[in-house]
Amino acid sequence: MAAFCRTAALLLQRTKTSPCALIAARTYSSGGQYQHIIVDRKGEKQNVGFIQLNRPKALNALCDGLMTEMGQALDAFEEDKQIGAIVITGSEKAFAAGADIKEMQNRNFQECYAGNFLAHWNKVSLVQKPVIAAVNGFALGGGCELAMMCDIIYAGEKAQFAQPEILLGTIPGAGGTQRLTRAVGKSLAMELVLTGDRISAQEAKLAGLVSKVYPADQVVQEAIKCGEKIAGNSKLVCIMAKEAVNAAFELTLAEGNRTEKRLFHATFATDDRKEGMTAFVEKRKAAFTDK
Amino acid sequence: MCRERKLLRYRNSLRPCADQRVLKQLKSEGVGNVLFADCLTQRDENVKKWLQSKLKAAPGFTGQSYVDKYGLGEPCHDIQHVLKKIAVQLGKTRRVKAITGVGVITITVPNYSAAAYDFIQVFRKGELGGQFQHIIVDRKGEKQNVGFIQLNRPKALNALCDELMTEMGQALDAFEEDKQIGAIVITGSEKAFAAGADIKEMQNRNFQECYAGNFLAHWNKVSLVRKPVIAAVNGFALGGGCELAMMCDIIYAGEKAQFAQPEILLGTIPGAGGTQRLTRAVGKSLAMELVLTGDRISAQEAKLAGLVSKVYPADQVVQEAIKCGEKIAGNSKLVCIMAKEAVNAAFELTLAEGNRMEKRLFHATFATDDRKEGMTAFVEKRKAAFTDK
Repeated sequence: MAAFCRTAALLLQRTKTSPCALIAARTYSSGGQYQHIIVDRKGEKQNVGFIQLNRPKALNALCDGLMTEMGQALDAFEEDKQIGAIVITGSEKAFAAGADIKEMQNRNFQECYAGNFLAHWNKVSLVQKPVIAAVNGFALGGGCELAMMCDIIYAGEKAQFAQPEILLGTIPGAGGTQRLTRAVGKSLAMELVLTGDRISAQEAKLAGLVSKVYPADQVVQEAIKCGEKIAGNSKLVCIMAKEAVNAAFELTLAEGNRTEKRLFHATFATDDRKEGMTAFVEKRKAAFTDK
Repeated sequence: MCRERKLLRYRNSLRPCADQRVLKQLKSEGVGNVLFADCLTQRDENVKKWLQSKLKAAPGFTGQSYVDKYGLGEPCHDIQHVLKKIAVQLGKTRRVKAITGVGVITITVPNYSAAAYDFIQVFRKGELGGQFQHIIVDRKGEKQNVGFIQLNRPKALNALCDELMTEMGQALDAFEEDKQIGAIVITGSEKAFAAGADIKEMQNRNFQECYAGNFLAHWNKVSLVRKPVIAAVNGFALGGGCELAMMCDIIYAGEKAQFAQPEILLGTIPGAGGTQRLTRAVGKSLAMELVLTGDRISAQEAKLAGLVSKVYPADQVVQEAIKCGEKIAGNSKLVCIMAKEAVNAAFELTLAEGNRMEKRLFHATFATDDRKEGMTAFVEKRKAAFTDK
């Protein structure tokens, strides 16, 4: 982080007249102006974007400012051609313990509806590149919804998932009821949403919410490894694959199959498809160019 | 006093009998100390003992058999039915004379307290418990805020017949209107939740009758209930029973519970949502296997597959379901209805549209008092006091 800031400062000093370097400085300094998150690049080839929620006093409670900053960081990673996958994590104690209640406490219906409260909180679900959530500790309410917006969830052994909004007299507002039901089935989803009970990481894995459970100190590393694996493939085709999987939640089976087939045919218009299949036949490693 | 009230609320299945004639005759000669032949069911053992002790203490007990005197044949009174007839007179008297299977006792009702008034109202309207033949209806929980429906056709292993489903619909309507009830628990016996639909009923129907008569149309009443419904499944939940459980929102299973859709073995297919809800719950491969072979899965397999959310020992599952109902009923009942609607929308809408609907409902919670109370209580670190408004 400090290295990036120094690079940014250097670039800014030396190249007052060069716009390209200024843009580079802005990109490199994208970690500098965030208050509630830490942004970084990880991986051997620096091809995994890394966003860490950083509000330790509030157990990473999601406030409007945090979600706006996360949107900016995600935009930056989307534009960066080097980044192939993004990892989002919190602290070891809490991924995100819900939304900021103090912020919401005194709103009324008119403010919420007219102001389209929570509208931009689904930014994570609109990202084209694959996003992996590395969840340690509490992922409650808005935190659980944030994790479910990501494509893959890796959980630490002490992670806990819950939708306790009902205990506050409200319901999940950022996709919790929809994504949880699609992930774990009706009975467990109804139970969690109506009672506010928590499930452990192991229960979440059995139910289908998370795909892997690791020891708490390894989960972020494993998530970054997974990100590197994904980023090592063709980034263009990864975006198509993610779009096809997400279409399963929007379309009927027949239409979803048609969408997938159209995307599949579209991969034949890419260089990477030809390179990948040729490398397979020639029994060598593929060299993808993301074109 | 409390015990008498508990007895008054005791729910039993009802068998019709010539009680009007009996009452008239007893009234005409004054209510004396008479003894019926034993007709209380197994469940009434505690009640019977209490009544017997009361009777022995009553003065002038003659021990004469009522059945012999009036030639009624098989005695069929139970407390519920008789009290119902007497309850209409509660406005006139504070002391209720109940004609029971072991004699006449006097039950003193608390004088015009709120509890007594509730009792009068319930019995006068005949909403709960009194008129049901195939189900037992009750309120459970410390705060009496969990509705309880138990299927009661032991000889048929709780097979679902048209009448049972109609009665269940009536009981559910009553619970929906009752502002005190926050959640509903449906269960069967320990041997069987519901072993399918009544085959004898369906055996001789033809297509025209089924289609024109819209057979099974009202069987989905459970899925239309707005308040949360928990199924406590012990033993067999086969065919229609499995479908009934899946219509509920949450399923708790006993360790010996078995789920199956064996309609294919009868030459038909599931007709009350089995193919749809099972597939959405357990996935295509297992659903196809169950529907096409009629095989059964155990409670543990059902939990792994995602059909049930908890498995408990057979003697604890109903209690745990009631506890869960109490937990749910302790939250804001209004917002629970919204939460249930949002989760159910996941099965009707695409993800984007479902998210939009959830957001609209979420915004709508900000128009409730309970939302403000809940969040304020959280910030002030105290327990929330919901008002369901």
